[in-house]
Amino acid sequence: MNNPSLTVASLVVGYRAGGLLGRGGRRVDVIAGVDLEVHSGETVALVGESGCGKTTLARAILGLTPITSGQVRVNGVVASGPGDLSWRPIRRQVGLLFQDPVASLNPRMTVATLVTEAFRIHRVGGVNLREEAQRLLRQVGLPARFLDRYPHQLSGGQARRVSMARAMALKPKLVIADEPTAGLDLSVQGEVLNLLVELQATQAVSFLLITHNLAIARHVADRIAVMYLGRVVESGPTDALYSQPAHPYTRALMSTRGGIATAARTVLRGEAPNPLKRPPGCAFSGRCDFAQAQCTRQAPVARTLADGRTVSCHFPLTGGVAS
Amino acid sequence: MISARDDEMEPRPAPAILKLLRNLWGSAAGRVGLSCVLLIVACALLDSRIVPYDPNAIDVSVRLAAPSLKHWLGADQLGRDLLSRIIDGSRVVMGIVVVGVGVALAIGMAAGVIAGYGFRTLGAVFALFCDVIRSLPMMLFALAVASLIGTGLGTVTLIVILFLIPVYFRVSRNQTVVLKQSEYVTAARAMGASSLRVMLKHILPNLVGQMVVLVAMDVPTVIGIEAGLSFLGEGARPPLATWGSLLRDGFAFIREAPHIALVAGLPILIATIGFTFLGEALRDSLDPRVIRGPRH
Amino acid sequence: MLDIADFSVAYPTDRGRVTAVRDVTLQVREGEVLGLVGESGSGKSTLANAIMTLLPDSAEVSGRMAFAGQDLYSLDRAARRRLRGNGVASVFQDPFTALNPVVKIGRQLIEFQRQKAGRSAAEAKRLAIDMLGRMGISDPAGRMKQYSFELSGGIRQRVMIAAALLTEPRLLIADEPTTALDATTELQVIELLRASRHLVRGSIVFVTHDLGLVAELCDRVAVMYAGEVVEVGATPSVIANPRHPYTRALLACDPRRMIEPSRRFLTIPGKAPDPVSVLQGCAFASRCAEVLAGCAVERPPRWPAAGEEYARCVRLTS
Repeated sequence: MNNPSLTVASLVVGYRAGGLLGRGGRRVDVIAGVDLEVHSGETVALVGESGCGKTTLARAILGLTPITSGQVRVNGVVASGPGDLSWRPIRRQVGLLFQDPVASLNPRMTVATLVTEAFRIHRVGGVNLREEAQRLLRQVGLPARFLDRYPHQLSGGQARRVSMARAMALKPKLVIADEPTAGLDLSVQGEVLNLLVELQATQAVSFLLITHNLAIARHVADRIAVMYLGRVVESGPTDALYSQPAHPYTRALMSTRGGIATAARTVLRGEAPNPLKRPPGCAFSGRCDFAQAQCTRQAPVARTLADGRTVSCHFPLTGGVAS
Repeated sequence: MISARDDEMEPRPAPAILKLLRNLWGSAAGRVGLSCVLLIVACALLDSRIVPYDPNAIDVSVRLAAPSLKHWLGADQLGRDLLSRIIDGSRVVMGIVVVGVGVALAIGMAAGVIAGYGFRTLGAVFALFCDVIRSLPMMLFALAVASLIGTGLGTVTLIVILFLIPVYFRVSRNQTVVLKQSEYVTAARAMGASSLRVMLKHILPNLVGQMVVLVAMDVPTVIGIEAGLSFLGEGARPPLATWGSLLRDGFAFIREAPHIALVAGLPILIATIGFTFLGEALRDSLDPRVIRGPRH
Repeated sequence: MLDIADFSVAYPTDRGRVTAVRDVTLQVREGEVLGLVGESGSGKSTLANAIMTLLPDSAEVSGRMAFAGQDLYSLDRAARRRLRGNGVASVFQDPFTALNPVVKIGRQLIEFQRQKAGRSAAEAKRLAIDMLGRMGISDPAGRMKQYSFELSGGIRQRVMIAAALLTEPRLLIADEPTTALDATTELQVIELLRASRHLVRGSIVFVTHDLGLVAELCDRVAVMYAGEVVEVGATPSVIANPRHPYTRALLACDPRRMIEPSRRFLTIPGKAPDPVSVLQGCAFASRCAEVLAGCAVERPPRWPAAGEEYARCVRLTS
């Protein structure tokens, strides 16, 4: 595989809870060791439910949340340390789409200023900013008259497009989209998705799609990574995960109404996980229908299956372990 | 939930300033405030062009004269026209306001934003300095400073600055902490913006609204400081006309010519009412509208 | 149980008079589960609030809304309030705001039953613990002593349902009860609702934007658009053979119904009519793929004209 757009290696993001004056206490890991790759031109969907850490992961990839250990590499570039300055090269190459597009736009800036801010931040010279702004708006289907509007004059859908235009400003190789369809009615959801698909085709961009909406992930993503309590429990080609999930959690997830209608219903026991109360061994063991003694004693290690998937499970449902 | 409203667009908006002015004019308080403030500002700017007499011209023949057609607000103990002295005084007082508030705002906001954004040690040191200043009773503090560096308008301005910096620092710092959590700040950081850029381009502009209201409400305080100090003789030196020094004269001759004191109080009254009302009207128009209609 | 006839709700606002619900005719039979489906701005929440008699004071109501034979809006406000606690229960999208955060759940569950005459506090407590257990909540007695913020979203929602069921309502309104929940938690709650259906002797109105959810739980479904009920009928037949173009378009947009993976998503172009404007003709005409010349002129009547199941489309009458 040629240079991947994104490589996340053994990423851990944690903080100290309890203790006095920031010392002592125990460490709580929101992300407990994640490996992830997004190849050039593909769309990877990061799916998971509340408490899994997917939003934190998105922020950690850009260094917006301090990293405890591990590495993030974007197009081969690594951040040399904490601090905004060392993360600049990576941030220049990634576009970020927020869950709430209106809130992510500075209310005192015009659309033209907003979409071209990246040019100014990275001091890209020899560019007519107004023309660039117009080009970016055209790319997302907005006419030039929006250039001088302010965020409060935009509808939700228009704000979304503006934030997409902004993300594409410096022609990033990777765009991270955080819940792009959150809060949208069914009849307009497609607009956002069609635009993302189109941008990918015309701009050769890789997408990391963070979502809890399995129905969408199935159609848009080439590969899926399933997160549970700060770890990727399974990742692989979309079709494979949907039709033959290897990890019991993936199986439960795919049997919800977002999965394929034919999958057998699996109703999970117990409650959603909490990073503060991490169970011993496999984090999912308490709710797993297939848990065995080993599962509560030993945390599983990620293994690669014959079809190229990786699973973190002692007894994957598809059986057989290879390489 | 958001539904498809992509064709819904408002017509090209008028510039924000015009909209603000229209808003202010809409309420009674705003009208009163705006009028008073404009009056004072006009006096300060036009000063020598509209004074009926030279503020320092002595005319013993009209010494302590009550208001008349010749001297609309009367004359003081040296026969100087009071109206002219008030107008002249407005220039001085507004000068103190502009310089005092301006410098305090610059220093206070800069320190506040830096402290609020995350530079903890700097913030803590500055906060300590501010707390010390605010803990001192203002007039005593002012007199102490005056005795150290002498009386005069410079001293008054310095005291105003020292008095206001802690206020602007505190508000800027607290508001910066809040604004730093906004999604658009995160968005800017995610694009690679430096801390300086975020502070200048994203936090400061969103801070301005609140600060303007604060400033408007502080002007009466500044006027009060000047008036108080000049009244005590620690401020303007004669024959300079300021509202405080006029009050001083008025107090000295309060039995023979009570009109002087009344007249001297007039501009202070107008200024206080004007700026306070303006500040409140600004605050109301910058706040999000309250939802109309009672709930269940 | 619930008989709604030509019911309308309007509010005065800054921008004008907003008609949130427009001439709705709907029945909910005793013992059935009716799904009320619509997107944002469809008026479904307003209608649900109207049934719960929780409309703001400024709302203008016309038409008939009869609960167990009694027209709710011909009563005075005090009488309506009495009726509210005695017979109609509700479950909301965010149970956090419905539960008092500074009072232990146990006490609230007991308090909710206060309306039921003849129940002592001890009896109420026993029933509460029993109901929590039936909701699949572990350690019900212990939970009674917890506060709402100590619970996860799924558990909180189950507590809310338990609270509603404890009042033995004749009508239960569930307003988007699973919208804020994770997919796996939603599944738990759906199975729970399905299993405990027999515990509700009365009827349930299930308000949601999700037609798929309705297919799981509801006997009949009413589809709302721009304040009107555009189609109502038995769930299986509405889903399999939708009679209104909006229902058809909505079903087509659902990615879950796209059997083959596809990167092309369908949408309904245009936008819903502005609720301030006075409507002429069919509400959906401006966005309908099957629109005819007369659609924007005359409002399509219910077809069939009589009966509880109908759709409002001119194409049906021709």
